[in-house]
Amino acid sequence: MSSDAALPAGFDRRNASYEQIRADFWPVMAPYADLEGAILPILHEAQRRYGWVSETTVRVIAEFLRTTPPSVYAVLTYYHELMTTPPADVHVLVCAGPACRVAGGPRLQAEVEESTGITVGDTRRDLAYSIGSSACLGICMHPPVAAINLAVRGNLRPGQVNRMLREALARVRQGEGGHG
Amino acid sequence: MSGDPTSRFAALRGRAVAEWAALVQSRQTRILVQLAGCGIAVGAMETFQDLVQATRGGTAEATVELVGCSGLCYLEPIVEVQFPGGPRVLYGGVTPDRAPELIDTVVSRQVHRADWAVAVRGPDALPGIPSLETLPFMKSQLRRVLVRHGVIDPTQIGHYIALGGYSQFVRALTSLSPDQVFAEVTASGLVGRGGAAFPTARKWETARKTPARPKYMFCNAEEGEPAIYKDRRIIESDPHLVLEGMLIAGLAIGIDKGYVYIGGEHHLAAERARIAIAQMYEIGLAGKNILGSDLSLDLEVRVGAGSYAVGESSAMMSSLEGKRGMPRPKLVRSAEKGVWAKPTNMNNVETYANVPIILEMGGAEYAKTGTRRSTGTKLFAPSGQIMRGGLIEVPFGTPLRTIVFDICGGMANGGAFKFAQPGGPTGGAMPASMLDLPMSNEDCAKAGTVLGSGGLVIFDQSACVVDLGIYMMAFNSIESCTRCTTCRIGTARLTDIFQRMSRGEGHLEDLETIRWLGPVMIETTLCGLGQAAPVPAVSLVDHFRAELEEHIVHRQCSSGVCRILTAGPNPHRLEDARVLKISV
Repeated sequence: MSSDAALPAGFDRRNASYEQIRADFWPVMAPYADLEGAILPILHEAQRRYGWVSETTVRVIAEFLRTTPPSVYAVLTYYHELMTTPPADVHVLVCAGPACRVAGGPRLQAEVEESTGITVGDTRRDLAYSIGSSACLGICMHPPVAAINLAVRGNLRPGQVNRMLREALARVRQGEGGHG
Repeated sequence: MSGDPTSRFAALRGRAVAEWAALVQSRQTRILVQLAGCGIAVGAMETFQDLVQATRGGTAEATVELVGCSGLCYLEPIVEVQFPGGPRVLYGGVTPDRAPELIDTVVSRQVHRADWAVAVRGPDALPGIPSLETLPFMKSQLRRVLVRHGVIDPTQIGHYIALGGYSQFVRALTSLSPDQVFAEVTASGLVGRGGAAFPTARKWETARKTPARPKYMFCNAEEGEPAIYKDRRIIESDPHLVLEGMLIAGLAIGIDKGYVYIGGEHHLAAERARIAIAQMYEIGLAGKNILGSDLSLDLEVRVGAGSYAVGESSAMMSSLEGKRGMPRPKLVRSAEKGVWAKPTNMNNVETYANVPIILEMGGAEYAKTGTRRSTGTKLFAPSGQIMRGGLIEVPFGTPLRTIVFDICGGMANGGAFKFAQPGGPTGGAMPASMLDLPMSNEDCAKAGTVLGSGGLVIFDQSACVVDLGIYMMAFNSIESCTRCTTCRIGTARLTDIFQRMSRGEGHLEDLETIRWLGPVMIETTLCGLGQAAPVPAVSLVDHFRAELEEHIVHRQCSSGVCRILTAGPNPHRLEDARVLKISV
C-alpha cells in the first residue's frame, strides 16, 4: 500500500491510537520487510502519511523492524526534517541562508511572524501555523525564499507572503492539500 | 530484445535519434519550459500549466514540453519557443501572468519579439536577438557537464541517448577493459568535486583491489550546505550523465550495487533520479546482465532527511545502514570497509558527471583543461549581491574576477565588491585582494581558503562580517553531529563570540580566542566537517580585523546590520586597545 492512499475514516493524524496506527501503517511498511537499512525510508513514509512521527508510530515501527523503540527514536531525532510534534496545517520554512540574509530574509521572517502571531520555532495553539527556519533552501538567486508546506517560493516581495499564508490555510482546511 | 550489447545499443540509439529528429523537425510550434527547482520557485510550474491549458484550448497550435534548467537562473522563469524549421529562442521572466502575452504576441503570430527574447540557442543570431553563446553570462564559460541542461527533457532517457548519451559506457563495456577505463581516469587527473578534492582514481583503485564482495558505490547528493545547489540541478536537468558515470565507475571497479543518496530537501531531484533509474531498468541499462553482457549492477535512490553531517562519507554510510548519520573513525578506509563493512566507493554527483566526458575526450586531453592539480571544469553557483546569478561552469583556475565581473555582470544596485564566501559555511572569506586568485583547489588552499563544492556567495558593502560570522558558526553548531567535544563546544563558543560582538559586548581577546581555537578544532575533530568549521571565523579575523575591532571598541556597525544597544565607544575596550597597542 502506498503512503499516498487516503487515511481511514475517523483517523486523526494528531491523536491516532496504537491500534489505529498499527492497522493503518503495517501495510505501508510491508514492502520494506527485506530492505537493508529500511528504517529511514519507513520514517519517511510515516512522515508523509501523518505529517509527523509520534511515539505511538515509533512503537509500531520498532515492532515491525523487530527492534526497540529507542533505536528507532535515535534515528528519528537525528534528522531535522523528521518531526516529533504534530504539524500545524500550514508549516512555513523561512530561508536563513547567506544570500537571503543580505536580500530581505530578515524582513520576510518578520513579516511571517507578524501575520501568524508566533515566532520562528513555534506552533500556533490553534494549529493553524508553525514556523521553522531553514539553513538554506538552495534557491539563492531568487531571494528572499520561503517554503509553505514544502512548496518553495522565491522573490517574495513585501506584502506577498501574508496573502499566500491565508490561501494555503484555506486550501488545507478545505481538504485540498495536506502536509505533503 | 536479443543480440550482443553493441547491436542492442545501436537499436536503442537508432530509435532515440529518430524520435529526437522528429521532435526537432516538428511541424508544430514547440514551447519548452525550463522546470527545475529554481524556476519552479518563481512560478515556472504555473507558467507551464497555463501554457498547456492555452495550447490545449485551441488558442494556439503548439506542443508544450519540459526541459531542465540552463543555469541562467537570473532570467527565470525561462520559456523557449521554436517555430517549425526555426531555432529555439529563449524568453526570460515568463511569470504566470505573462504567459498569455507569450501566447498572444509570439506563439499565435509566429514572430519572435526582439524586445522580450533573450537569446537564440545555437551559434546564429536573429535580427535583434543575440546568440546564446555570445551572451556575457555564457562567453567565459566552458560548458561540458552543463551542455545538455535546458536542452533535453530530463525525464526522457531517449533524449540523452539521442545526443550521444551512454555511448561511452557502451564503448567501455564492449571495447575497453576495466584497466583501460581506469587508465583514462588516472590520466585525466580527475579530483573529487564534493569539496575534499581527493584524486578519484586513487579512491577507485583501493576499492578495485580489495577482494571482498559485494562492492558498493555511492553517489553523494546530500548537498546540505548553504548556498550551493549544483548537484540537485545536475540531477534535475541531466540525471543520466551522472548515472552513466556511475555505470562506468561500476564497470571499472567491479561494483555490485550503487546508491544515489539524495538530501531530504531535494524532492524534485529524488523524483527525477527515480524516473531515470526506472527507465534504465526498462531498457536494460541497469540490473542483471546489462544489455545482455556479463555486467550486472543495481541502482537505487535513497533519500536523506535533512542533515549536513550526512554529506560526510562515513556518516552517509551510517545513515544508509539505518543508524544516526554520524561520521565514524576511519581506521580502515571506506574503499576497503565501508557500508555493511564492504568495499565502498563514494563520489560526488559532479565527479561522476565528468567520467563519461573523460572517456569521450580521452584522459590526457581532459587534463589539458584547468590547472595542474585541478583538471577539467568546475561548476559554481554564484549568488548574492550580483547582477546575474545561476549555475556556471568554467575551467579550474579561472580568476574570481572573471566570475564576478564578466560572467555575473558585477555587483548589483551599484554596490562595491566586499568579499566572496566560497564553500558554504566552511570556506574562508575572499576579500577584494583575492579577486585575481585562480579558482583551483591548490591556489585556494595556498591562500587560506577552500574552493569547496562550488558555492560562491558574493557580498557588497551592505553585508556585515559579524552578522555572517554568526550565521556560519551557528550553522556549524546546529549541524555538528556532536560526537567530538571540540566541534560541539567550539562551534557554540565561536557563535557566542560573534553574537556578543554583534551586540557590542565583544572583547579584543575574543579575536585571539578565535585564532587559537581554530587550530585546536582542526587538530582534534574526527571528520572533515569539524576540521573545516572554524575556517570562516579565522579568515574573518585575518581579513576583516578592523571591522571586528570597530564592533568591539567603538560599538559600531558601519553596515548598519547589527543592532548594537549601547551607542558610543566602550571606554574599557579603548583602554584594552591602548594596552595591546592596537590603533583603532
